[in-house]
Amino acid sequence: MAQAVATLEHAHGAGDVGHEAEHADHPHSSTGLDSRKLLMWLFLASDCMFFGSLIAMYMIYRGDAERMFLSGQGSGPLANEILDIPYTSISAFVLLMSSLTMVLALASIQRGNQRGLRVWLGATALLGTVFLGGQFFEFSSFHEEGLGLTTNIFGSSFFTLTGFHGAHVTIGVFWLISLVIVSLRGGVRQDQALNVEIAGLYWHFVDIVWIIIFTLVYLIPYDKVATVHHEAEQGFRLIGLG
Amino acid sequence: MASVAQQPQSVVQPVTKPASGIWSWITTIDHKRIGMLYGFSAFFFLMLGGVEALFIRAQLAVPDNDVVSAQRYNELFTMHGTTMIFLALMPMTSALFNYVMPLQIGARDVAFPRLNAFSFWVFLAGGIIINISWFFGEAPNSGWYGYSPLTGTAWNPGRNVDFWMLGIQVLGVASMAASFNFIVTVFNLRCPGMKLMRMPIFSWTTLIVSIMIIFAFPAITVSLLLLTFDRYAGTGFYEAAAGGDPLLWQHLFWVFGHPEVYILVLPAFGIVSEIIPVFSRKPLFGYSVMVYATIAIAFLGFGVWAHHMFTVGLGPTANAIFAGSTMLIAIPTGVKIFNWIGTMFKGSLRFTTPMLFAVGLVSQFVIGGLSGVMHAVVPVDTQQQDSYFIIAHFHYVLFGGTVFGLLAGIYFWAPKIFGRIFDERLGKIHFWLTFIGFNMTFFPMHFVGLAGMPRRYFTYSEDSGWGPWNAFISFGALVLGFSFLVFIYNAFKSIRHGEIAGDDPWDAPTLEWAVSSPPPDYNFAVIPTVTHRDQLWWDKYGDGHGAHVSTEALPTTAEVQRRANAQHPHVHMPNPSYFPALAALGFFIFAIGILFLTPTVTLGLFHLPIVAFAGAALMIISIFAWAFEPAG
Amino acid sequence: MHRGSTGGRRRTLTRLVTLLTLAVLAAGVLLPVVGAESPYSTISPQSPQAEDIQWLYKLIFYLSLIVFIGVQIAIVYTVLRYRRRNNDERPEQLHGNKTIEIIWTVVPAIVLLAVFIPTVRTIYAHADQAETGNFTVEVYAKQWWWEIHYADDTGAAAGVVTANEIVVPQGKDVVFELYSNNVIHSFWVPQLSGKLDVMPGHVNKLPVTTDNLGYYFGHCAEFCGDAHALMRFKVIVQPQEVFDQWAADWKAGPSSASADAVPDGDISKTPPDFGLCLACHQIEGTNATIAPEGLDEAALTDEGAMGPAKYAGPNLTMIGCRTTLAAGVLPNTPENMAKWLHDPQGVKPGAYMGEVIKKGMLSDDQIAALVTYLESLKPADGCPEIPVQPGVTEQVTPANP
Ligand code: HEA
Ligand code: HEA
Ligand code: CUA
Ligand SMILES: [Cu+2]
Repeated sequence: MAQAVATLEHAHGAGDVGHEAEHADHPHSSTGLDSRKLLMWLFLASDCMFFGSLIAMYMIYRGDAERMFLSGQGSGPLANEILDIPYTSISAFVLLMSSLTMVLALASIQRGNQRGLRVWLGATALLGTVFLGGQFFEFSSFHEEGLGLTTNIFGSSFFTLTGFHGAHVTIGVFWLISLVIVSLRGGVRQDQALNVEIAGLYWHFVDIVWIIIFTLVYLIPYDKVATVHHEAEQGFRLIGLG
Repeated sequence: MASVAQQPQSVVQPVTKPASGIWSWITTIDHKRIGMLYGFSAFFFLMLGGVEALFIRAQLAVPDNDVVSAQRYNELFTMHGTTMIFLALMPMTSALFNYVMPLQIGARDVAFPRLNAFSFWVFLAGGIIINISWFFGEAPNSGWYGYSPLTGTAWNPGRNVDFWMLGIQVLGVASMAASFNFIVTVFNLRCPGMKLMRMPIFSWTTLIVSIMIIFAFPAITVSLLLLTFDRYAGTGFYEAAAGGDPLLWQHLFWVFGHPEVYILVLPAFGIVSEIIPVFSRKPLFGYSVMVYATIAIAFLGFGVWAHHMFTVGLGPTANAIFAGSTMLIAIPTGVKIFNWIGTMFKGSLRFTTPMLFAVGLVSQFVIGGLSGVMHAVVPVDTQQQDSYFIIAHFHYVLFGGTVFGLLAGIYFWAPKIFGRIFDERLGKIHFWLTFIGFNMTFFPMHFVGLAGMPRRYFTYSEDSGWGPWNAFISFGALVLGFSFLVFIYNAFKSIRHGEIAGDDPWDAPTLEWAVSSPPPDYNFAVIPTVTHRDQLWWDKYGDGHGAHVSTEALPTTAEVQRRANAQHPHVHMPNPSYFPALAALGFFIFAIGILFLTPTVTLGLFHLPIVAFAGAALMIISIFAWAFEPAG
Repeated sequence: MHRGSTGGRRRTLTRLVTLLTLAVLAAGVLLPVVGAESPYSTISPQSPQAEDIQWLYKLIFYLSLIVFIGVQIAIVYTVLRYRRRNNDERPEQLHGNKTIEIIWTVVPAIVLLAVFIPTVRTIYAHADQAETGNFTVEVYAKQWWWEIHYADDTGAAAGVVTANEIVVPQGKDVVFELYSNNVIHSFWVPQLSGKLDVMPGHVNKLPVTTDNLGYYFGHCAEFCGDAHALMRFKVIVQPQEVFDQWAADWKAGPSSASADAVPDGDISKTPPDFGLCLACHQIEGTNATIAPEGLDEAALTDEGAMGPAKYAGPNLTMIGCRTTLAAGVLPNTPENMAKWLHDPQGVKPGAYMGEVIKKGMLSDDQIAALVTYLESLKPADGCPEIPVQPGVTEQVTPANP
């Protein structure tokens, strides 16, 4: 659903601002912030709760599969056997770079440089696609090693959390591509840099979320109880979870 | 009525005749019409939920009754709760947000009119998805907070839960889209001079409630997504055996669920804060304190969710903490109650129907509030949780709070919306019937609750001793139901032949009363400029000390609008668009496709439900179309 | 505002206010007493734990009553006193008053603190008692009945398994350990204690000190499906010696009383008609021993399929002494037993036994045979007699909840 709103968001883009511009005597904005930009900020705030809930879910179940395994229950590969940190670090780096190209795209259009805009938007979309490809191969290799969505609680929580992040990236990629197309049709004038800026806000957000997920899911070791995990767990214990 | 005579009538008619016909309603992006769409659908669902309640009461009227089967009964209370909360009360508040808030802040529409239309149509889709389940004989049957694992396929193989799960999910999209819109509108479209601390309290509650919604709903979105995976993909997020935990559902749900109850009541508080000053002829007592109290309630509301889980065994520390945070909320809420009384104190009170309902709220909500504080006392709650004492508590706050407030608001703003005043005599009859029926229905629920009657019981035995009061309660429900018939009659009669309202029948201070009733579709011929809180009163009476005379040089806000309208201004408003409705339709088809998951086409290793895909496609296409259609 | 404060209005005013006060007081007195009549009453405590809760309830109740009366009087007074008398009056426009607003913020805060402290005390006290019991009863909530296992610290009763009637000795610090392998239920005996949910994957402990002899009605308080309303049970507090005798009788299995009901008087065998029942029911001291009991792991792991634990029914040892059938739904009489065997789901919607024993599946002779056998499952010298609560005059008989 968050995605649905996100798409909408963009959808607004070309639309309603036009309408606001129509009222000459209409106060364009009491806060000075553009309405669509504000809308995007609000959406991202709400999306924080969305990922917050998913991440909380993951942290609550983090390590449970291992515990079940030790107590003889449960089946399937466990996190520390299957996660390939070097591989994912690379794709994480790719996504990180895409934030850079996004910045460059915005900079170009603000300088009125249409070609630059297209190149950098295209680059960003490309890097995003590479990341998604990486995730696809990761998922399918996990599948071969016998970890499916329903294999154990680790599989379920892992694929759900990273999957929904992937969905966010996918939407972002489509958004960027449609921006490229629009600009090809001369649709993104310099004074419409905002359209790019808003897409950028979304893209950077998705990028930051990945840094967090990457740390919590991949970097913090599973075998020995790591501190962050441990503290998180104290909190969850308090409310009967974890 | 007297006050009408006092008010100079507005001569101009809206320049552009509002278009009519079904199509104009489907394509409308005017916040006022969307508000009315919300209002009428919400009222229909209120009646539906009410009729479900009447069935519940019929079944419980006598011991060992068999008006309905156990299964049907479980569907009835689940649908009653779900309908009332998600399809009746929330959209009814949306209706008033939509109609009133932009007028109150001196705007011509919300920030994103088409997103607004989309929100409504998606809400309608959600309501339909949940309710068509009746026609499949598989209505949701796990209670309005659908605790796992009872909602799992192991214990609930039918499609009942699927309808509920997807319906709520869709409704969530609608609520969030609407809320983003309202927040941006309040922040950005205030007219010159309308500082935040000059905003009418109702617009304040619109803002705060919308903020609560965008933070509360993601939690239920996630909990429902996990449930969807459990049911469709066979994961075990809530299955203890698979390493999951049913408690996760309860936490995620109530992290949404508790804020939700304040989402339901704060708008009513806002309405009352508008009405009481008007009919006391006094400004709201402690305006800024009221604002801060509302913010405090909204904030604390996110830190008390586990008070719905005092009996699940969270352990003493968690229970103690949440008992404390829950009790805290009594303080800002009390401040509101006292400020309302303070506003009436030494005022000049006039008891029109809206005022009656408003004061009714002030006195009845306290009852529900106090029983709420009793629940906060954990050991006491272990004797009350899931008993009729709880049922009593939340009907006092939901009906005695929200519904009273909404009815007050409807009577108060009807003259603005329909241009005619609702009949006062019938209105008073309606109020007293409601007031009496309401207490007959819900007060004795405290007694059966104390007598140990658990909720969600489709039957009980003679010897339980619950019989007599239940019979009485059921009778009360009939009275309450009848009161709604009076209201329906009054509405039908008054909308057609009611007394003409004029711009400002109540002598109210906020901007919506500065324009004609109903307002022109551009609301304001010229965007007003505000210099004070309660602007219209200041125009007429100054700040109480000596009237401030309106001159040619300095015309009143209302006068400015009349003159501008008289010159037939050509305010350009965005064109109607059918893309929002079309996108919502796509969304609807998508959800239905997910629900039935057949027919499917096979692509490699994926089996794709084509209906769902068609729906998604339709939605995406129409959204793009709407994005690139000229807003003109 | 001296406006219109003539003696006449004053009088009506005071009259109305006193009237309202009386009405509210009446309601106030009503609230705590009405409903004390029910066998499920939450406000006629019969154990120290329930007493603690009652004490807190009274505290918060009367505080709330004061707040309630205060607020309502304020409203009624204002409403009557400041009605609009003529149409062009405009009262003084005061916008607020710091001191008073501070007062009505601080006073509630103090009231709440006064409630919060004893609340926390009781929370922790009861939490400790849950750890320091000396008599552990394991309760397994099933859809829709209760299975009772006696733990090792229950002396004579260790290992006893029964259903829906929890017999405990007087003067013990009983701890009920709550287990579920299906959905969530809630264990609630209002006269003995508050409720505690039975959570799959968690073990909750509820302490009850059994001071008073007698029998106490309980029921399931968390919605758990079709027959949620028909999931009743009882706690029966017996003198120690009666309890020990009861436990001994249970372990002895069928008595000579059953001799005529089984083929060639071999009470260690169940009658042929019972064959179908073996899959779900155990009977101590007979060949009925295969039915699953307690937490059934098999049923836990298998996805959704009707696992044994979903089917399995109560242990029927000494069922002849149970006061009710089908978890407090029917008084335990031969007629009702027959009624149940004839159509379980007719008696109890959704009952899983009905998935096997469809309506009318058993012939009348079979039913007759089974009824004689089951009703015969009791000690030769009769069932232990059930004590009545001290001080309670006429009480709902144990057979009719
Ligand atoms: C409009 C919705 C609404 C509102 C406003 C409230 C308000 C409150 N609610 Fe309620 N509540 C519900 C809707 C609402 N509730 C619903 C729907 C449920 C059941 C859900 C379900 O299980 O289906 C529920 C259940 C519920 C529970 C769980 C019960 C259980 O299941 O075990 C609890 C427990 O603490 C609780 C507490 C409170 C409290 C403390 C307040 C406070 O906000 C009340 C504050 C107000 C006052 C206290 C009165 C005015 C104050 C004064 C006059 C000042 C002086 C007062 C004092 C000093 C005490 N509520
Ligand atoms: C949110 C608002 C809300 C409102 C307004 C109501 C209104 C009413 N509710 Fe409530 N109720 C809930 C929310 C609400 N309810 C919730 C959340 C639950 C918990 C569900 C759960 O456990 O999951 C609940 C549960 C609940 C129960 C407990 C069921 C159980 O646990 O077994 C009962 C029992 O009496 C009940 C009764 C009533 C009654 C009599 C009304 C009356 O106010 C209704 C008044 C009658 C009408 C409004 C009908 C009017 C219409 C006509 C007379 C016919 C005319 C029709 C047309 C013209 C089309 N409700
Ligand atoms: Cu078991 Cu309700
Ligand atoms: Cu709550």
